[in-house]
Amino acid sequence: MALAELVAFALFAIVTVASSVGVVLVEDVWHSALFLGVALLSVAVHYVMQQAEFLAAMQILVYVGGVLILITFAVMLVREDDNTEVVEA
Amino acid sequence: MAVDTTYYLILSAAVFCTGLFGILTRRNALLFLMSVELMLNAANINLVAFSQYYGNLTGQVFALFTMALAAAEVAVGIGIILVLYRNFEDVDVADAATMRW
Amino acid sequence: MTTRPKLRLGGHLAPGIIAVALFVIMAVVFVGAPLGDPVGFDEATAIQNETLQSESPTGDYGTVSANGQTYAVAYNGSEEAANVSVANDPGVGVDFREADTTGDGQSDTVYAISRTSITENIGYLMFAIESDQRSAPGETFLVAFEIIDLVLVGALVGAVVLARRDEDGEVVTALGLHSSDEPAGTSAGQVAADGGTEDGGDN
Repeated sequence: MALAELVAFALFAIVTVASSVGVVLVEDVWHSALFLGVALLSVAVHYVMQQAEFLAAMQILVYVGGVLILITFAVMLVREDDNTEVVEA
Repeated sequence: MAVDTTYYLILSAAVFCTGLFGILTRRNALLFLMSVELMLNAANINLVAFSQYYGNLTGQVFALFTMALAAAEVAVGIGIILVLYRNFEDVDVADAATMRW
Repeated sequence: MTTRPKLRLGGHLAPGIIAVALFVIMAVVFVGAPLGDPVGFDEATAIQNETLQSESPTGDYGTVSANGQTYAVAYNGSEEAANVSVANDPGVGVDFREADTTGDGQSDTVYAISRTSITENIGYLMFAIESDQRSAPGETFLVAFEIIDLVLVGALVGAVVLARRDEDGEVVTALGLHSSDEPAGTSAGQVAADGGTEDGGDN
């Protein structure tokens, strides 16, 4: 039981850290936003493992449903598309 | 039995430092916003971990407040970034240097 | 077009060494910190069927053992009552019903110990609700909640009132106080909400 919990924690900790590092290291802002979504969702898993089920629900609702959508919105409005010239030509 | 609190602290330190890393190395304002989100999330992990550690719900309630703050902060940040983009045709934070000395 | 995520590595990552150093410091401190096992919360999952162990002579209270603890159960004569409070431990609920647990053909009273859920406790704490269902310790947050509430509403109202934009020399506001379709004269000489004049001021 304890071992299973430890393994689950390790797996999701790796997902959290790896996707966080992905957020800051990838070239494209849109990919960063997607990695951020993975990171936020895996943090919700950590909340569930710490008896904070309500916080996990709020994490998904507020962060993934609100914050990430807002960031996506900004990325779409601000992004400099590399193919702009190709499309316009 | 639950996972040791120390592991959660290290996880939260890793996420926090990743956010700090992003702020130190990138110049895209959107990346700043996302890095700040990561750092706020790290703080939340810490709050929940200590809430569990002490068997006291204050940490969880406070984490809820932090979430509301993060949502409001992103709304304001998006507005600033959009104005930045309109004025400078870019979201590079080094471009807006009018008030710098 | 699909694009593979590409890492952006290079010399610009040099300042990040500060963050890595901070992580090393934090990790050393956390590993060295003398933290024991987490206390955790008694959850509502502690529901178990237990039979009454001892009963008072008058039959209005007894003891029930569950999860290694002995609870004193008080019930008010009628066993039809849905919930019976547990003495000295608010937030612990006891349900009981008739069932044959020993297999001797006679029905016994079966008790189920349950605690108030964490989510319910969060509600009690956040809004400072005094309730005997509260079972987890914590501070109340009603004042903080109200202050943040008022500040956010103030920020929203302030943003809408102060929002203004110069469009071809004409000031456009979110509330339409200075819009051109307003009858002339009503807004003449009016001072804008930020203290500037209506012709844009610092815009």
